[in-house]
Amino acid sequence: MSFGGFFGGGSSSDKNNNSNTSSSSSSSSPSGFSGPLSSSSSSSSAGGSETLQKLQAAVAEQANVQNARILISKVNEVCFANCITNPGSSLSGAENKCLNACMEKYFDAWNVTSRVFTNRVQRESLAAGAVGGGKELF
Amino acid sequence: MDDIDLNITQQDLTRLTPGEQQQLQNFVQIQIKRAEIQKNIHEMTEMCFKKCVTSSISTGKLAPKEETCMSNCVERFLDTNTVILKHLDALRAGQ
Repeated sequence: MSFGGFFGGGSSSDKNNNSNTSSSSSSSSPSGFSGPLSSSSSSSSAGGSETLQKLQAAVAEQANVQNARILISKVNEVCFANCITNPGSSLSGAENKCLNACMEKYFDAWNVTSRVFTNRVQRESLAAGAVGGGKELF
Repeated sequence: MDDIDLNITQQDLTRLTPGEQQQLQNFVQIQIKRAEIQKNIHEMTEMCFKKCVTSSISTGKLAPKEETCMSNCVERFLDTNTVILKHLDALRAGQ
């Protein structure tokens, strides 16, 4: 996992993208990653031809589907490890309950991570802006 | 991955104005960035969940202690990233 690009590796283009994000998709700027499965809804903006809108909607849709897939596969893996410690001949009631609780807890955890990460990135890009150069965050 | 029927013809595509093409490009760039960020969040969530949720799971909400742990875990992971990069810089400068 590399944060290089995000934290300042290619700083100039990052900056552009960030400003694009906040200006063109007003609905999803600060809390843009509020829910693990929440759709972006950022494609709502702008007029453009029908073709453009269709393309954007399709791209956003695919991105959301992909995100949901990753999330579900992680939940599967983590909760299986957590709840099915001793696989029996069938899924027990307790295991079932554990799996359901685990899934919700994982979503909860995802939201915490998202919030903390987003806040931190915002804080650091603000700090970098205040210094002036913003070439390197660290 | 499933194919989706966009119902867009080649002609439709050529009819995009330069402005729209630019718009589309920006849009895709933003989506790529978003996906990257989400990937990072997925990785960190998994890592920190494993570290922080250690007792048997009975409720669907994070316990306050677990939530604090998650938050600290993410912050410290990002600190780790900073320290590593800084040290790498120092090593390179010392050469």
